[in-house]
Amino acid sequence: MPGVGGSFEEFVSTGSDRLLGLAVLLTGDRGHAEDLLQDVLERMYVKWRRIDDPHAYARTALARKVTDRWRSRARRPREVGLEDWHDHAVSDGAGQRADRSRVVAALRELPPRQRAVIVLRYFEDWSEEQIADQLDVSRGTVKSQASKGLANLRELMGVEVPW
Amino acid sequence: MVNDRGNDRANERANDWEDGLRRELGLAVQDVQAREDLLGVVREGGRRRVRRRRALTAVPAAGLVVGGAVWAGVARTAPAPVAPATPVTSAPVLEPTPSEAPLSFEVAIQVFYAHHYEYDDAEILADLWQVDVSEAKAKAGRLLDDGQPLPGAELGVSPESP
Repeated sequence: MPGVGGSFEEFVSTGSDRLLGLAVLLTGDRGHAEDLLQDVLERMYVKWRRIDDPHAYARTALARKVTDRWRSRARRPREVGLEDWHDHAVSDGAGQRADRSRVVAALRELPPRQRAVIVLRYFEDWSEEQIADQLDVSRGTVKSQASKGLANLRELMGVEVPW
Repeated sequence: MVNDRGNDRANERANDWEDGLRRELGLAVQDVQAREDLLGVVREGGRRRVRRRRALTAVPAAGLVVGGAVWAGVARTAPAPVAPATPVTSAPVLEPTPSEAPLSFEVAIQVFYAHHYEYDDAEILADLWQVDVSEAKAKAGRLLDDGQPLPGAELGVSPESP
Protein backbone atom coordinates (compact mmCIF):
# COMPACT_ATOMS: atom_id res chain seq x y z
CA MET A 1 0.00 0.00 0.00
CA PRO A 2 1.72 3.17 -1.10
CA GLY A 3 2.61 5.45 1.73
CA VAL A 4 0.42 3.32 3.99
CA GLY A 5 -2.71 4.87 2.53
CA GLY A 6 -1.34 8.33 1.83
CA SER A 7 -1.28 9.97 -1.56
CA PHE A 8 1.79 11.22 -3.35
CA GLU A 9 0.37 14.74 -3.22
CA GLU A 10 -0.08 14.55 0.54
CA PHE A 11 3.42 13.18 0.99
CA VAL A 12 5.01 16.01 -1.00
CA SER A 13 2.85 18.67 0.62
CA THR A 14 3.58 17.60 4.17
CA GLY A 15 7.07 16.16 3.89
CA SER A 16 9.03 18.18 1.37
CA ASP A 17 10.19 20.94 3.74
CA ARG A 18 11.84 18.47 6.07
CA LEU A 19 13.29 16.50 3.13
CA LEU A 20 14.69 19.69 1.65
CA GLY A 21 16.33 20.45 4.99
CA LEU A 22 17.96 17.04 4.93
CA ALA A 23 19.07 17.59 1.33
CA VAL A 24 20.59 20.97 2.26
CA LEU A 25 22.64 19.33 4.98
CA LEU A 26 23.64 16.44 2.72
CA THR A 27 24.78 18.68 -0.12
CA GLY A 28 25.74 21.84 1.77
CA ASP A 29 24.04 23.91 -0.90
CA ARG A 30 20.43 25.01 -1.38
CA GLY A 31 20.50 24.81 -5.18
CA HIS A 32 21.95 21.32 -5.29
CA ALA A 33 19.57 20.27 -2.55
CA GLU A 34 16.56 21.34 -4.61
CA ASP A 35 17.86 19.44 -7.63
CA LEU A 36 18.45 16.37 -5.54
CA LEU A 37 15.02 16.46 -3.92
CA GLN A 38 13.26 17.03 -7.22
CA ASP A 39 15.08 14.09 -8.75
CA VAL A 40 14.20 11.76 -5.89
CA LEU A 41 10.54 12.84 -5.81
CA GLU A 42 10.17 12.37 -9.57
CA ARG A 43 11.45 8.82 -9.20
CA MET A 44 9.07 8.22 -6.34
CA TYR A 45 6.19 9.50 -8.45
CA VAL A 46 6.99 6.87 -11.08
CA LYS A 47 6.98 3.98 -8.60
CA TRP A 48 4.68 5.35 -5.90
CA ARG A 49 2.45 2.28 -5.75
CA ARG A 50 5.42 0.06 -4.96
CA ILE A 51 6.86 2.16 -2.14
CA ASP A 52 5.88 0.92 1.30
CA ASP A 53 7.43 3.63 3.44
CA PRO A 54 7.86 6.86 1.48
CA HIS A 55 9.59 8.73 4.31
CA ALA A 56 12.29 6.10 4.73
CA TYR A 57 12.56 5.63 0.99
CA ALA A 58 13.09 9.33 0.34
CA ARG A 59 15.75 9.67 3.02
CA THR A 60 17.64 6.64 1.80
CA ALA A 61 17.43 7.79 -1.81
CA LEU A 62 18.73 11.27 -0.95
CA ALA A 63 21.64 9.87 1.02
CA ARG A 64 22.50 7.32 -1.64
CA LYS A 65 22.39 9.92 -4.37
CA VAL A 66 24.97 11.98 -2.49
CA THR A 67 27.27 9.05 -1.79
CA ASP A 68 26.84 7.66 -5.31
CA ARG A 69 27.96 11.02 -6.63
CA TRP A 70 30.96 10.69 -4.41
CA ARG A 71 31.69 7.24 -5.77
CA SER A 72 31.42 8.43 -9.35
CA ARG A 73 33.39 11.59 -8.74
CA ALA A 74 36.14 9.58 -7.14
CA ARG A 75 36.84 8.26 -10.62
CA ARG A 76 36.14 11.26 -12.78
CA PRO A 77 35.17 14.87 -12.30
CA ARG A 78 31.50 15.62 -12.64
CA GLU A 79 29.64 18.84 -12.34
CA VAL A 80 26.22 18.78 -10.77
CA GLY A 81 23.96 20.74 -13.09
CA LEU A 82 21.26 23.05 -11.88
CA GLU A 83 17.80 22.76 -13.35
CA ASP A 84 16.48 25.68 -15.33
CA TRP A 85 13.81 26.44 -12.78
CA HIS A 86 16.40 27.59 -10.30
CA ASP A 87 16.82 30.68 -12.41
CA HIS A 88 13.39 31.83 -11.39
CA ALA A 89 13.06 30.12 -8.03
CA VAL A 90 11.93 32.44 -5.32
CA SER A 91 14.28 32.63 -2.36
CA ASP A 92 12.58 32.01 0.97
CA GLY A 93 15.37 33.61 3.00
CA ALA A 94 15.61 30.53 5.17
CA GLY A 95 17.52 28.74 2.44
CA GLN A 96 20.07 31.51 2.37
CA ARG A 97 20.30 31.45 6.13
CA ALA A 98 20.91 27.70 6.00
CA ASP A 99 23.65 28.20 3.43
CA ARG A 100 25.31 30.73 5.71
CA SER A 101 24.90 28.71 8.89
CA ARG A 102 28.12 27.84 10.65
CA VAL A 103 27.40 24.11 10.72
CA VAL A 104 26.30 23.95 7.07
CA ALA A 105 29.42 25.85 6.02
CA ALA A 106 31.54 23.36 7.94
CA LEU A 107 29.65 20.37 6.52
CA ARG A 108 30.27 21.68 3.04
CA GLU A 109 34.00 21.25 3.62
CA LEU A 110 33.69 17.55 4.44
CA PRO A 111 34.00 14.81 1.83
CA PRO A 112 30.45 13.76 0.80
CA ARG A 113 30.55 10.38 2.48
CA GLN A 114 31.69 11.82 5.82
CA ARG A 115 29.03 14.49 5.47
CA ALA A 116 26.33 11.92 4.74
CA VAL A 117 27.28 9.78 7.72
CA ILE A 118 27.32 12.77 10.08
CA VAL A 119 23.97 14.08 8.86
CA LEU A 120 22.23 10.72 8.99
CA ARG A 121 23.67 10.01 12.43
CA TYR A 122 23.04 13.38 14.08
CA PHE A 123 20.15 14.90 12.11
CA GLU A 124 18.12 11.80 11.30
CA ASP A 125 19.28 9.85 14.36
CA TRP A 126 19.95 6.73 12.32
CA SER A 127 21.93 3.95 13.95
CA GLU A 128 25.33 2.92 12.60
CA GLU A 129 23.81 -0.35 11.36
CA GLN A 130 21.07 1.48 9.53
CA ILE A 131 23.53 3.82 7.84
CA ALA A 132 25.76 0.90 6.84
CA ASP A 133 22.80 -0.98 5.35
CA GLN A 134 21.45 1.97 3.46
CA LEU A 135 24.76 3.21 2.08
CA ASP A 136 26.12 -0.21 1.10
CA VAL A 137 29.17 0.10 3.32
CA SER A 138 30.44 -1.84 6.30
CA ARG A 139 29.69 -0.79 9.86
CA GLY A 140 33.41 -0.22 10.35
CA THR A 141 33.39 2.26 7.49
CA VAL A 142 30.49 4.12 9.10
CA LYS A 143 32.35 4.26 12.42
CA SER A 144 35.55 5.55 10.87
CA GLN A 145 33.77 8.08 8.65
CA ALA A 146 31.77 9.35 11.63
CA SER A 147 34.89 9.67 13.74
CA LYS A 148 36.83 11.51 11.04
CA GLY A 149 33.83 13.64 10.18
CA LEU A 150 33.34 14.73 13.80
CA ALA A 151 37.02 15.53 14.19
CA ASN A 152 37.01 17.57 10.99
CA LEU A 153 33.83 19.39 12.01
CA ARG A 154 35.29 20.32 15.38
CA GLU A 155 38.34 21.72 13.71
CA LEU A 156 36.36 23.59 11.06
CA MET A 157 34.03 25.04 13.67
CA GLY A 158 36.87 25.98 15.97
CA VAL A 159 35.73 23.73 18.78
CA GLU A 160 38.32 22.61 21.28
CA VAL A 161 38.95 18.89 21.09
CA PRO A 162 37.80 17.46 24.44
CA TRP A 163 40.72 15.05 24.84
CA MET B 1 41.39 6.15 39.09
CA VAL B 2 42.47 9.65 38.15
CA ASN B 3 42.66 8.52 34.55
CA ASP B 4 39.12 7.09 34.74
CA ARG B 5 37.76 10.40 36.01
CA GLY B 6 39.62 12.22 33.24
CA ASN B 7 38.18 9.88 30.62
CA ASP B 8 34.68 10.32 32.04
CA ARG B 9 34.95 14.09 31.79
CA ALA B 10 36.29 13.86 28.25
CA ASN B 11 33.41 11.58 27.27
CA GLU B 12 30.89 13.94 28.84
CA ARG B 13 32.32 16.87 26.91
CA ALA B 14 32.25 14.84 23.69
CA ASN B 15 28.62 13.87 24.32
CA ASP B 16 27.72 17.48 25.07
CA TRP B 17 29.32 18.54 21.83
CA GLU B 18 27.44 15.87 19.88
CA ASP B 19 24.15 16.97 21.46
CA GLY B 20 25.01 20.54 20.49
CA LEU B 21 25.68 19.37 16.95
CA ARG B 22 22.25 17.74 16.81
CA ARG B 23 20.62 20.98 17.89
CA GLU B 24 22.64 23.09 15.50
CA LEU B 25 21.83 20.84 12.54
CA GLY B 26 18.13 21.09 13.33
CA LEU B 27 18.25 24.86 13.78
CA ALA B 28 20.20 25.38 10.55
CA VAL B 29 17.36 24.03 8.41
CA GLN B 30 14.28 24.41 10.60
CA ASP B 31 12.85 27.23 8.47
CA VAL B 32 13.80 25.86 5.07
CA GLN B 33 10.76 25.56 2.84
CA ALA B 34 10.39 23.82 -0.47
CA ARG B 35 9.09 25.97 -3.31
CA GLU B 36 5.34 26.18 -3.50
CA ASP B 37 5.03 24.68 -6.97
CA LEU B 38 7.28 21.70 -6.18
CA LEU B 39 4.39 19.24 -6.45
CA GLY B 40 3.52 20.41 -9.96
CA VAL B 41 7.14 20.39 -11.07
CA VAL B 42 7.67 16.90 -9.70
CA ARG B 43 4.48 15.53 -11.22
CA GLU B 44 5.45 16.91 -14.61
CA GLY B 45 8.97 15.45 -14.30
CA GLY B 46 7.57 12.12 -13.14
CA ARG B 47 5.23 11.89 -16.10
CA ARG B 48 8.12 12.70 -18.42
CA ARG B 49 10.11 9.85 -16.88
CA VAL B 50 7.21 7.44 -17.34
CA ARG B 51 6.93 8.37 -21.01
CA ARG B 52 10.68 8.02 -21.49
CA ARG B 53 10.79 4.62 -19.85
CA ARG B 54 7.89 3.41 -21.96
CA ALA B 55 9.64 4.64 -25.09
CA LEU B 56 12.85 2.93 -24.08
CA THR B 57 11.20 -0.39 -23.40
CA ALA B 58 9.57 -0.26 -26.83
CA VAL B 59 12.91 0.01 -28.65
CA PRO B 60 14.33 -3.25 -30.07
CA ALA B 61 17.28 -4.69 -28.19
CA ALA B 62 19.59 -4.37 -31.20
CA GLY B 63 20.61 -0.85 -30.34
CA LEU B 64 19.46 2.19 -28.50
CA VAL B 65 20.47 5.81 -28.56
CA VAL B 66 20.94 7.01 -25.02
CA GLY B 67 22.51 10.35 -24.22
CA GLY B 68 23.80 10.74 -27.76
CA ALA B 69 25.64 7.43 -27.88
CA VAL B 70 24.50 4.09 -29.24
CA TRP B 71 23.94 1.69 -26.42
CA ALA B 72 23.88 -1.96 -27.28
CA GLY B 73 24.16 -3.72 -23.97
CA VAL B 74 27.80 -3.24 -23.04
CA ALA B 75 29.45 -0.50 -21.05
CA ARG B 76 30.70 2.29 -23.25
CA THR B 77 33.64 2.69 -20.98
CA ALA B 78 34.58 -0.96 -20.98
CA PRO B 79 37.83 -1.56 -22.80
CA ALA B 80 37.35 -2.91 -26.29
CA PRO B 81 38.94 -6.26 -27.12
CA VAL B 82 42.30 -5.73 -28.72
CA ALA B 83 43.91 -8.27 -31.02
CA PRO B 84 47.54 -8.92 -30.16
CA ALA B 85 50.06 -7.57 -32.66
CA THR B 86 51.81 -10.93 -32.75
CA PRO B 87 50.36 -14.31 -31.97
CA VAL B 88 51.04 -15.48 -28.44
CA THR B 89 52.21 -19.03 -28.52
CA SER B 90 54.08 -19.82 -25.36
CA ALA B 91 52.88 -17.87 -22.33
CA PRO B 92 49.96 -19.43 -20.52
CA VAL B 93 46.93 -17.19 -20.40
CA LEU B 94 45.15 -16.86 -17.09
CA GLU B 95 41.46 -16.40 -17.65
CA PRO B 96 38.60 -16.44 -15.21
CA THR B 97 36.89 -19.77 -15.00
CA PRO B 98 33.47 -20.60 -13.64
CA SER B 99 35.07 -22.43 -10.74
CA GLU B 100 36.71 -19.26 -9.42
CA ALA B 101 35.18 -17.73 -6.34
CA PRO B 102 32.78 -14.92 -7.16
CA LEU B 103 33.67 -11.38 -6.22
CA SER B 104 32.78 -10.36 -2.73
CA PHE B 105 29.67 -8.25 -2.30
CA GLU B 106 31.54 -4.99 -1.72
CA VAL B 107 34.08 -5.54 -4.50
CA ALA B 108 31.29 -6.41 -6.95
CA ILE B 109 29.57 -3.13 -6.07
CA GLN B 110 32.81 -1.26 -6.69
CA VAL B 111 33.06 -2.93 -10.11
CA PHE B 112 29.52 -1.76 -10.86
CA TYR B 113 30.48 1.85 -10.09
CA ALA B 114 33.82 1.53 -11.87
CA HIS B 115 31.85 0.96 -15.08
CA HIS B 116 30.15 4.32 -14.50
CA TYR B 117 26.75 2.92 -13.66
CA GLU B 118 24.82 4.67 -10.93
CA TYR B 119 22.11 4.07 -8.39
CA ASP B 120 19.34 4.73 -10.91
CA ASP B 121 20.64 1.93 -13.13
CA ALA B 122 20.69 -0.43 -10.16
CA GLU B 123 17.07 0.44 -9.40
CA ILE B 124 15.98 -0.58 -12.89
CA LEU B 125 17.98 -3.82 -12.68
CA ALA B 126 16.53 -4.52 -9.25
CA ASP B 127 13.04 -4.28 -10.71
CA LEU B 128 14.02 -6.61 -13.53
CA TRP B 129 15.72 -9.21 -11.35
CA GLN B 130 13.30 -8.86 -8.44
CA VAL B 131 16.05 -8.27 -5.91
CA ASP B 132 16.87 -5.28 -3.76
CA VAL B 133 19.03 -2.51 -5.15
CA SER B 134 22.19 -3.56 -3.34
CA GLU B 135 21.86 -7.11 -4.65
CA ALA B 136 21.32 -5.74 -8.14
CA LYS B 137 24.53 -3.70 -7.94
CA ALA B 138 26.51 -6.72 -6.80
CA LYS B 139 24.98 -9.02 -9.39
CA ALA B 140 25.62 -6.46 -12.13
CA GLY B 141 29.19 -5.96 -10.91
CA ARG B 142 29.85 -9.70 -11.10
CA LEU B 143 28.40 -9.88 -14.61
CA LEU B 144 30.52 -6.94 -15.74
CA ASP B 145 33.60 -8.46 -14.15
CA ASP B 146 32.86 -11.61 -16.07
CA GLY B 147 32.71 -9.64 -19.30
CA GLN B 148 28.99 -10.12 -19.73
CA PRO B 149 26.66 -7.34 -20.82
CA LEU B 150 23.89 -6.02 -18.64
CA PRO B 151 20.35 -6.15 -19.98
CA GLY B 152 20.56 -2.48 -20.79
CA ALA B 153 19.11 -2.21 -24.26
CA GLU B 154 15.71 -3.44 -23.18
CA LEU B 155 15.54 -1.28 -20.12
CA GLY B 156 17.47 1.83 -20.91
CA VAL B 157 20.18 0.98 -18.43
CA SER B 158 23.37 2.64 -19.53
CA PRO B 159 26.51 3.86 -17.90
CA GLU B 160 26.93 7.58 -17.55
CA SER B 161 28.99 9.36 -20.15
CA PRO B 162 32.52 9.81 -18.92
